[in-house]
Amino acid sequence: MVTPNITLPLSVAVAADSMKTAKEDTRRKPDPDKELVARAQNGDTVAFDELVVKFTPKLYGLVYHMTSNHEDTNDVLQDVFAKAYRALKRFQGKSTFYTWIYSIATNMTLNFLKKRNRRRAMSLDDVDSAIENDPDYIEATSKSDPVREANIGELQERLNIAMQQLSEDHRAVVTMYDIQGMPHAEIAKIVGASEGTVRSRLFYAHRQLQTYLEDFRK
Amino acid sequence: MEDESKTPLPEDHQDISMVRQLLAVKRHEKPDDAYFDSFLTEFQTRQRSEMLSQSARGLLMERVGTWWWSVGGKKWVYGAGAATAAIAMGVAFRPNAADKPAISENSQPPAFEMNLQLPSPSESDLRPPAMPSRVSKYGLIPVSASSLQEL
Repeated sequence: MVTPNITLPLSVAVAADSMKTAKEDTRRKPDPDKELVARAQNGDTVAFDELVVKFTPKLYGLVYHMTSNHEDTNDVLQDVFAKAYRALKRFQGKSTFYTWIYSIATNMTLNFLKKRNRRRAMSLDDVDSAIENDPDYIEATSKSDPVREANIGELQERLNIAMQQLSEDHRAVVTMYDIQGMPHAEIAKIVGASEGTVRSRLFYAHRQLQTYLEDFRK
Repeated sequence: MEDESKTPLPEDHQDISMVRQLLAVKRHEKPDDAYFDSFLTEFQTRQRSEMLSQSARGLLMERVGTWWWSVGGKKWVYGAGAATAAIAMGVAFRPNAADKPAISENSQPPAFEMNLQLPSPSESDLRPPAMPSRVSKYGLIPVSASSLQEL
């Protein structure tokens, strides 16, 4: 069978090519940490140190808001990086390093919480002074008298207690979505569930929190 | 059954938005910069002490594991499995393997053959029996009238 030789005009060919590239780009974003990860995989410990420095604040937020305890957060976080270091050779770049290390941290925190006896939440004394200028805080205080009247420390403690009432899985998605501002798709990849499940967990977690924070309503 | 299976109900958007605003405020809850500065040092110290406390055997196992992974351990396992399966199949399906007994030049004959050593036949045994002298050339024996009467 003879295949007809069709020659596309250059503009059409270029457009088709660029569309294909755009499609691939949306399917898979390049990993900004690819180079550091490659160096670390080849035994460059300085590169791994850079990754630790880069991801510590983000992962701290994730673990802290799930455990509500600074000491526990520090221990879990140390173990997370130690595990990531040991498993780094096995990281094949099928996801971004960010998603990979977040998955490790989420799983390790969930395992830790299952083992941990219900311990009293120990909130941090330090709250960033920028909270007073945060638009969300300003709006919340403008809407609600109890929020305005409560001092920041009290508000923080109430929120932590409310968070601890949620199941571990629900707390994880609330932390990633509401506190860390991550999109549903990213959370779904990290927790290994569908986007629908993530949305559903958020819905029920918000409803529960609404009940626990009833006092803050006008 | 987890609560995800339930049908979602309409939300009170105003209350939910306040809950979300309060949660968003929690992002300011973090330790001071000194903690993050010292975190790496603590991590390195912990790693070193872990290495020292780990037994030589443990370290060796970890290194072997890492090396095995880096050389594509899985591929080798699959390859070895496939080779073993191929050899097993070859042995199982070899033609007439079960029917033919193994025979070598030095092997002795079976016992029943050893006890039946008959003498070789002589020349006279192989010669056809002699015909009686009265037999005609047609193979018939002539009969007289007296012998018929006897019958």
